[in-house]
This record gives sequence, C-alpha cells and structure tokens, in this order.
Amino acid sequence: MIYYAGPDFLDRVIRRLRSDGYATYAPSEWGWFEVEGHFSEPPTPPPVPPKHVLRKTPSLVLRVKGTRFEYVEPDRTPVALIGIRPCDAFALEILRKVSMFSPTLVTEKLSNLFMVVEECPNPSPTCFCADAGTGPDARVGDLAYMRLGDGFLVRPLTERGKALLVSVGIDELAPKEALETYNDIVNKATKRARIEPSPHHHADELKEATWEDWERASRNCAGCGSCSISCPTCFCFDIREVHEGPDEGGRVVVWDTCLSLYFAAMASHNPREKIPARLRQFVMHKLVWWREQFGITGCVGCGRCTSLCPFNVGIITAVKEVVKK
Amino acid sequence: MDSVTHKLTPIKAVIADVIKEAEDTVTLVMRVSPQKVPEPGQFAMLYAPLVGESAISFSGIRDGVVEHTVRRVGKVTTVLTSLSPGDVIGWRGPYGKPWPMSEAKGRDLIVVAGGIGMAPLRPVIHRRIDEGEAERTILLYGARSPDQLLYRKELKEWQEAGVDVRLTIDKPHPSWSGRTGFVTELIPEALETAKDPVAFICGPEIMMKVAIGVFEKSGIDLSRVWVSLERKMRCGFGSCGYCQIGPIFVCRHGPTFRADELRCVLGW
Repeated sequence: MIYYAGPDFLDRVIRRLRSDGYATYAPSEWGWFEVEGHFSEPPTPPPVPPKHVLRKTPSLVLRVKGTRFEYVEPDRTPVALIGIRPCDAFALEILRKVSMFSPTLVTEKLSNLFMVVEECPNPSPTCFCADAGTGPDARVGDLAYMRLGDGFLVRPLTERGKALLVSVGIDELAPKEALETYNDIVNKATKRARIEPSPHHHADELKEATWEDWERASRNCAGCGSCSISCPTCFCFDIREVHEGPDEGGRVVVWDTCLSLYFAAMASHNPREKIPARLRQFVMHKLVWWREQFGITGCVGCGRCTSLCPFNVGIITAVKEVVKK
Repeated sequence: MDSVTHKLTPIKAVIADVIKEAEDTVTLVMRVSPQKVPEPGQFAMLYAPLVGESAISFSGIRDGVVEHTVRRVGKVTTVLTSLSPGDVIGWRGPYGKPWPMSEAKGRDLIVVAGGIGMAPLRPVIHRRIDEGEAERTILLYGARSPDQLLYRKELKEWQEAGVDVRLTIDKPHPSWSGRTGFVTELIPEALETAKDPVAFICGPEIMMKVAIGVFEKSGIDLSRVWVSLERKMRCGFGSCGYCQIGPIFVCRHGPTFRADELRCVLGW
C-alpha cells in the first residue's frame, strides 16, 4: 500500500516520534543533525554514514580511578533516523547480523531503532545500490517515502511503521497516476544505480587477484582510511586511554580503519605493512570474506569509499583495476 | 545481547609473585577470579591502568592463580614486566580456543616451541604430566641464546617426570654445550621416536610455517598438527575486528588452529 501525504508529512512524523521518546536525526550535506520538523532533501548518499550517529566516537566505556575500574553504561536513548537512505538502512540491518556474532559499537542502539527511509530518485554516479540489492527504493526500515512535488508518497514496511502512519492520521491512498510516476522514477533510478564492472559480480576475480593486481589497484591510495571511516558497515574499533589526572581517566572506543599502518602491527611484525595489502584487506573483507563470516555482503553500494576518497580509489576503482587485467 | 562496553570491563587481578625468566621476560603469578576456568592455549587481556591492554596467553593455570609470561616489547609490556607482588592490574578473559588436549590424549605428542612461544605450551606440559602422559610427550624447544630459555628450572623437572626434553640454541654460545640450530631441525629426529603423533607448535610465524612444512614432508597428516597464532587484538571476543585474517577472527576461531585449515587462510 502506498499512501499520499501532504507537505507537513515530516513535521507530523517527527513530532510523533519525539513525543514517543525518540531522538530524531536527519542527514545533511554536513553530517546528521537532530531535527524537530521538516528538512530539505539530503544528498545521495549523505557523506556521514549513520553508524556515527548511533555511536559517536570517542565514547567512554570505562572509568579508571587508580585500580578501580567502573563500567560506563552505554547510551540507550532510542533513536529514529529520518531521511536515512535505503543503502544506509540496509547497512544497519547488516550490522544487526554482525551483532548476532559479536556485539558491535551500535548493538544496543539497533534494538530500539526506528527508520524512516527516504528513497532515491537521483542516484549519484558512484551509487551502485541496484547491483548490491539495497536500493534505490527502500528494502528495509519501518517507513519509506519519496518526495513528489510538495507532497510525499509513503510506504509502511513494518507494523510499527503502519501504526505510526495511522497515529498521525495519514490514510489517503495514493492516486493511480502517482503510483505510475513512482514506479517510473524507481525504474529509472534503478538503471542509474549500477556500475560496470559491478563490485558485487567479480568475487572470483578478486579471489584470484595477484600482488601486482593490488599494487596497481592501490597506486593512488594514501592509506588515509577515509573509505572505512565513511563506510556504513565497517565495524572495527580501537580502544584508547584518556587521562584526567595522574591516576585518573578512562578508556574510549573510536571507529578505526584497517587502512592505517599501525592497525595490524605487532611488536614482532606487521602482517599488512604495505598499502596494497591494506587496501586488499578492506576490499576483500567487504566483498568476499564478509559473506563467509555473516552470510551477507558487507558492501551496500553507497559508493562513499570512492566518492569521498581524496584520490578516487575505494571499492569501485579497486575492483575495476583488478578486473581489467 | 551483551553490549561491547559490558564485555570490555576488566576485573581486578592481584600480582601474587613475579618470577624473572630472562633479562626482558617475567612470569606474573596472579590471583584472579574469572567466571570460567582457563584452559591451556587460551589468553586474557591484561590491562595496565591508563597505559593500555595486551593479549597474553596463559603460561600456567593452577587453583586460584593464573600465570602469564610477558616479554618487554612495547609500552604495555614495559609496565607489565616491571610489576611487583601486591600490585593490581585489570584482567579479562579467558578468551579463545584452547589447545585440543583431547586430540592428543592417549597418543604421542610433539610440542614444538620457539622463544616466547614456550609460554602458551607450558600448561600443555603440566597437563600431560598431571594426566600421566609425560612419557608420551616430546618437547622440542629452541631459543636465541641460553639465557633466553624460559622456565629453566622446570625444564629439568619435566625431564625427571618423563618428558623427553630436547633443547637447542640458534647459534653456538660459550655457555652452551647442547645442540645448536633451529628448533625445526629437531623435528625429523623426534618423528623417529614418536608413533602416529599429534603436534602443537608455537613460536615466530616463520618458524611455524617451516615446522608445518617439515611435518608435511615427513608424511604427517596436517589435520593432526596445531599452531597458535599471534595477532594484535583490542577486544579479545570478535568485536573490534583487529585480529582478522580473511574470514577468520584469531581471537574467536583461534588462537589455536589446525595447520591444514590455517594454511588456506595464510597462503602457506
């Protein structure tokens, strides 16, 4: 069922969720902000993935006073992500799967998360959600909407989503012409949200790739890690010390990146000292090993690892380089 | 589901004794009350308050105390190796998959240790002696120099208990009259004595790679050879992602691995 909602749709939904106790966040060109009402259409995709909203890092996990160690309760305020893109919503479902293996930094936030997904009529040139099977129309979430003129076409995806629509009085079914327009937009967007060679269709070549292939793929990589920090599914974290006095302080967690030189370095040796080995770790983990670990892909096709890379490396370019030989 | 924070909170461990093993290596005997009894081959995260945490294997497991042998190689181990009895540090564990002691039960066991790699194998020797299998145990142990051999007093006790202890030092040394050469060179001889053996190996990665090759060349099925791997770890339970090799989390799927399974992952 697709419903039609007027220009105040976001105001009504956000007000309702806030009165139900949710902290409501929406994405923008500059990151995610707490919103109380309508906001303008976010970029496709927004530069900051939602994991940074669910766990701001650094965040304190242990308080230390001398030899007293105090557990710091993680923030459990329920969060509603409004305007989250379909790829990012899918990424959080992936992190839910990862959490079934072992908790991630966002595990406690996922258990009471509400997602209102903004579908994508205009995928970016680096979007490949259609290849990944995560978009451009919403696949997961509680409620999905697409902006159409001044109004919204709204689709409930869960019982919770449906109940929310009922509670804000949205019950007008979308007219037939609007549905045709919606399908037309989704079909066109689906055609655009593909990339050739598709990162998701070359697992065998990636497994066979040689050291020379990875050298070629990483020749512009600086090892800065913007790819994994901006990746919506990357879950690796570091634990660091903070000092507040001679024997007082604590431990904080921070999102981390396998692209950094020190990530795997031990006193005895560094198994991934060279940049090709580190880029390979990132790409292979997302596209090959993730499936073996969690039964699902680790790449949602948001394209940030390439679009936000200062040198346009990321998964798109790396796979192209490996496959072209 | 547990939160990461909850699992990262250490408990207190009181240092009961510090035994100097080598110039840069000590064994910390600590009183700690973990929820699960550690097994040989597992490890714990030792927390030097406000300095950092390191993954250290158990080098001894006795009633009420555990032992960790630590070599000074970085910031955290510098603090750990300078502790005194009575000091308190943070501790969480045990983590990881133990040595498969049941696979070796009732069979000959060849233990191959290189340098600090002797530490996680020491509880294996203890267990074999306790279970009356000392005489079916061969220990091949190599170090860079005689003063780098750990547990020197105990090595004699093990020998007296019936363990076949064979030592080697990398290069000739004035104070050493025993064998010289790499520990992997002792494997073929041990295989002449041992019947249908199981092998546990721990040491530098290159040594383990060579050792696996020697066992394979001698016709030993690699499904009976086990190694323990070192990787940098932050959490110890499969969350932080640091210790991943391919699809494997060393902290959870290891640190002990069957050689034939590990080989595919490391490309050995």
